Amino acid sequence: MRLVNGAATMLAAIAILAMAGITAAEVIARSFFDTSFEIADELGGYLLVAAVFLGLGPALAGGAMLRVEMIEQRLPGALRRVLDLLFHILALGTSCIALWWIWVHVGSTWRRETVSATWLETPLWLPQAAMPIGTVLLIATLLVGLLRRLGGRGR
Amino acid sequence: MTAGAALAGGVFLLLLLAGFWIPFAVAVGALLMLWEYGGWNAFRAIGFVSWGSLNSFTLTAIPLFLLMAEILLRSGVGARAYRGLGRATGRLPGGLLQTNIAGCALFAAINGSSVATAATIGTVALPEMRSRGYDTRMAAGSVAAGGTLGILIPPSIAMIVYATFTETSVSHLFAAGILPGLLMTGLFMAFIAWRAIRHPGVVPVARPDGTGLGTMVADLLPFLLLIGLVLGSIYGGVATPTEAAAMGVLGAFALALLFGRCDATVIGESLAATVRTTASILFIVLAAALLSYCLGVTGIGRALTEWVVGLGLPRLAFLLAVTALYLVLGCIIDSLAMIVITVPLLHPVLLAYGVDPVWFGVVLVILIEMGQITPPFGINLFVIQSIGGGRFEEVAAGTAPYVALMGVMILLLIAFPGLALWIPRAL
Repeated sequence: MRLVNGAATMLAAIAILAMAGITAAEVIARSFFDTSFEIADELGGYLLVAAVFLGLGPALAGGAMLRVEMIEQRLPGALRRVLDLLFHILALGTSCIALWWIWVHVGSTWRRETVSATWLETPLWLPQAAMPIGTVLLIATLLVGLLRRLGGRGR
Repeated sequence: MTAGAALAGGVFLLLLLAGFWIPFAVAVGALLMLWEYGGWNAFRAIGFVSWGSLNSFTLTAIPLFLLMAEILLRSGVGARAYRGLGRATGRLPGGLLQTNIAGCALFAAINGSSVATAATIGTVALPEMRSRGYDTRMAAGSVAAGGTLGILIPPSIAMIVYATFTETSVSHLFAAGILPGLLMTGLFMAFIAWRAIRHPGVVPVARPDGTGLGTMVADLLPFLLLIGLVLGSIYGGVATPTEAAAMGVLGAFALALLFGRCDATVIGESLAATVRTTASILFIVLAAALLSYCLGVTGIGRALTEWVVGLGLPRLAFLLAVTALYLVLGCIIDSLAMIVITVPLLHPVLLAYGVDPVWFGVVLVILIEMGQITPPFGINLFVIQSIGGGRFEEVAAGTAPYVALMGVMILLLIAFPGLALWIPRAL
């Protein structure tokens, strides 16, 4: 799992670098050469979606996902372990519901061959594909975490 | 419907306080409300809200500003600017305490997060101050409080998120933060000077380190140029905040290459940290967009607005009630989560009261900052404690006076809204 999340981090990092590059190129082209590619806005949004969804698994695994720790830290150890298990199951359920409906959404863009309303006419399923991929990764990360806890190898 | 909404709200609060991941807690609350409203098929919203909320050029500024700050931080360029600043402000009454506040203000102008600001300045400042014999509480307090300038002085991630939920202009919000940000820096520095003059014991005698003006300028200048590039291009009308952030990333790379450490480790770690922070921040934004959608579609948001307006509170009483609400929330919930959960609910009420959303954005940011340095959850307090600022109680005690100063700042903003609105109106 660490390997997969490492790869996802790398892809997300590339998306962020591409975002910076394309946007900066747009500014330079506009201010110094008086032309515009007119694609930075569109691609920036796509890359952001990709970076965020691919980053979900790594963020969870890296403990970067925000939570209120103040009360939880004062609970007895046994209760904390139960809560931790419960949270994994609940998050898994939520993510699976999300995956289903994201899949429905991307599927309908694919079938209807929806394209963006710009001159690029991007087939929208292409950038949207990052969403189910990232969600699957999040589910896998949660599942591995859950199995590890059930197997008694807590955090 | 009200019973269902109350149940969803109750489950959400319970999960949140028990330590469930915040975005998941928000999502579960939103899904419960949707279920009540339209059953399984109402969940269809997840698909288009996920895509619609994140496919946004404005939000792209968040990873870019994060990356810029990470590079400056990890390459050591930030530390160098702090030392340069120390030579300029270290002779004021209060010595390095003044440097901390000024350093935080300076660093705030290139990054949008108060935790990053406090951590950057703290890592450099605290060991130095301990070796020179500064009072632990004063030292830690100045860094924790100074860090909160990070989200008030532009660029500010909190403001970008606020803007997306209220459809206000990011540039206007950034502009509105400048004057209050500088004023608060001034308040903090004046307070330190007053403390240092009244109780000379808390601050050791300044020790000139013998280097001249040249070194100071050399340390500070690249940093100031970068700030000029980023903010100048926004206010000069050359670039949107997102484009300015992209230029800032290029600039940060250039500075790291010229003046700092810029190898594969630095870049790799900066990128990995940016990816994790971006995902965790924007996942909350996504969950909150879902919540906001469901408040709209179920009519709960409107019902709540009508209820609050129906109470017939005068404007000032309403604003003070909002202030009190945020102070309580700020003690437990993280700042960004607080914005995304409360703003979709509050925004229509504020409009009904004729409150300017740009002005309120600035007040909200200061309120949130107060939360970040108020125990028990104040995140800046934990950050400073974890990088060696002394015991938690010491950090909290050292920070307390600054919380009061922020309260003064909020009262000033209520009395003179022009403090925030003058610059954006002049743009």
